[in-house]
Amino acid sequence: MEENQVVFSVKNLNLYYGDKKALNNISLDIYKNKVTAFIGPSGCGKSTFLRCFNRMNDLIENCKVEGEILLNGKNILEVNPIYLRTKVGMVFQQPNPFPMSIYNNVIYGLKCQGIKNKKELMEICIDSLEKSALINEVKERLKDNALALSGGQQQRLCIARCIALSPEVILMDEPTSALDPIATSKIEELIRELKKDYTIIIVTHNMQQATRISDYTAFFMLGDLVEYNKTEEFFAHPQDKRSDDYISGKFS
Amino acid sequence: MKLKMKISNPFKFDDGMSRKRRFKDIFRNASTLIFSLLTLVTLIYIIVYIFANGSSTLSWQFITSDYQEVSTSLYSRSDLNFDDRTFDFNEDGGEISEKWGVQLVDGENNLGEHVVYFLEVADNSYFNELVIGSNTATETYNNYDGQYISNLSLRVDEQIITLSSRDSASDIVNYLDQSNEIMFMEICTVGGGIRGSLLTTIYLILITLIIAIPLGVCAAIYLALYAKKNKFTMILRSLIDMTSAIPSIIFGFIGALVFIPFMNAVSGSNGGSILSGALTLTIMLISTIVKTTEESIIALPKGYMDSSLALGASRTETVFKIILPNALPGIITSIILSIGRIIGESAALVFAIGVSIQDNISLTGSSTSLAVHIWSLLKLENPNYDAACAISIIILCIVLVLCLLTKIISYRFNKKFKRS
Ligand SMILES: Nc1ncnc2c1ncn2[C@@H]1O[C@H](COP(=O)(O)OP(=O)(O)OP(=O)(O)O)[C@@H](O)[C@H]1O
Ligand SMILES: [Mg+2]
Repeated sequence: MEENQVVFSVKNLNLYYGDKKALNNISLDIYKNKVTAFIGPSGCGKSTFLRCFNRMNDLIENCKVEGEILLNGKNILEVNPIYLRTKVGMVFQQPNPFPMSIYNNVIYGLKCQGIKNKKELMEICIDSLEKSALINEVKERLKDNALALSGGQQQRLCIARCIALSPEVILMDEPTSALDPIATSKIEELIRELKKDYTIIIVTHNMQQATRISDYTAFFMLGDLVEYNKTEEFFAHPQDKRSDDYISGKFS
Repeated sequence: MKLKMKISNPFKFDDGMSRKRRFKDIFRNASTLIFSLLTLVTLIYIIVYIFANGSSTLSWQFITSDYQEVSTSLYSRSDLNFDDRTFDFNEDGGEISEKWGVQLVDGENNLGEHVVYFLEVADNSYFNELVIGSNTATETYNNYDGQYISNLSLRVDEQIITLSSRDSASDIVNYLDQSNEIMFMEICTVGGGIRGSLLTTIYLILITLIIAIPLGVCAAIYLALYAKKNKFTMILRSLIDMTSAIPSIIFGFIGALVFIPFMNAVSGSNGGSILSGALTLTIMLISTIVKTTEESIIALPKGYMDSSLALGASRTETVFKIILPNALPGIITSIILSIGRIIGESAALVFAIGVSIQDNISLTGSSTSLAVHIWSLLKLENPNYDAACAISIIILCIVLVLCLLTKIISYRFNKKFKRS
């Protein structure tokens, strides 16, 4: 692989839900300013793996993680999870803005950080909305309730909310699966734009989407990382029989 | 087994139902209708009865006056002399005694009985020279406002005339004008009012809510967001479920056996008090508050918690900035329901506070709530149905307003979340 700066380095990661092993000895590197797609059949552990990066699995009662994940060389277990989550943002499958104004949604994370300066907050809010390509649609109504936005706008608002904290990495778990094709293409365009500034990891069920937006693709099955490669090479010349079967739609 | 099938003649009935089925159908519909009507008629009858009997008693005076009558005995001094005074009266109506300088009027007390009130006592009236206690005393009396005459003995031409509040104002004035001496007069403040019980009810509501809301909301937050699924929380949950099914009289027992001795030890009170009642009500209501609040927390989109945490908020921040504000309508609903229950509760309070109707309310003294006040009125030798109905009207109106409030809140809440 070409010269790339490693952001996340995962080493021998095992994850258990109670007695059940959900991730099996996974090792991979995530590269800076690239889009990495996680694909695989339903229930193979993509979301579980994604949640390891910002330690959201800590909140699940019987979940146990072994192995290490290094963020810029530092084990994330040694980082305060609250700080970690400002550096590693997350966008969920369902657009879920809080039932408050658009402005308050965007600055929510900053306010929790203790930033109170109104001018600074407003600047960051506008900047984040610009970066998430939402500003033209909402600049007249920042004080309106965010629930009045359309689904696609809500999802871009969730991205803006994430960007406001100026993270290094943005995790996205099937961010477009609840959206219509037009809203989806807008988000995809946005992701291509965002990777200039951020490192993005995206879980997707849609292989066309993976080919359209990602630079690297990781294919998972039953908790195993089957294959991890540059997206073009992965889809053109899958090394593993299982990848080949999945790409050609033999199972899903 | 023998299977018997009856197929109805399709040409006999248009809807293809057998006679028996049709009959059953009609019977079912009719019985539903009749029973609903019966319920409705009973309900309307009760409400009409309450309003018909209570509305004449219900007045501002009824709400604001004391329950106990305070009477004063007055006498005209033995050396009273009549001079040529004239009296000025500002009020219209009533009957005026030009000799004594008082203006009396017919009226009713809170029990609906006829009494004669003082409408006005002129500044220079001889009534202001009457003395308290005996006809040789020197302490004069001059505060007749809102009082009525309950007994009156007059000397008229060496004869003693005895009058009471049942006599009309014109009779009393008539005899007063003929008499030179009030041998004995008993005047009374108007009793039978509910001020004390109303105040007690308000205190009960405030204190109960002050204790129950923080406890209940915290418990709900714990159960909905923090509690692990283990035996302990399971037992806790079923206990909470159970408390909402326990009849309130048992809580009354608990109040009498636990909280009254406890409050007596802590505050030195003697017997049931507002505080022991409020503690009992707290135990009674806390399950409702916990359940309603927990349900409204659980009903929130699960993503709120996750996405707030993913934005670097702590759990506590999430609870106070996202969860509680959005669960607020549910919490308010539970508060309103609780207020309704406190106002309507009687069985538990009979034991936990007591039944004595009081006018001077203190948190540690005995007094009683409106609902128990009704109970006390009906327990009298001559049950006072009118006053009981009047209190019922007040309670019904408050409960109605509270119901409307919950409806409005849930309506606004649903409207807010419609587009999510
Ligand atoms: N909280 C949990 N407790 C126990 N098991 C879980 C939990 N969350 C997920 N699992 C299990 O872990 C496995 C992986 O789940 P995960 O949600 O990561 O799959 P996924 O690849 O994201 O699937 P999908 O494409 O359907 O979203 C599944 O078998 C699932 O049943
Ligand atoms: Mg998933």
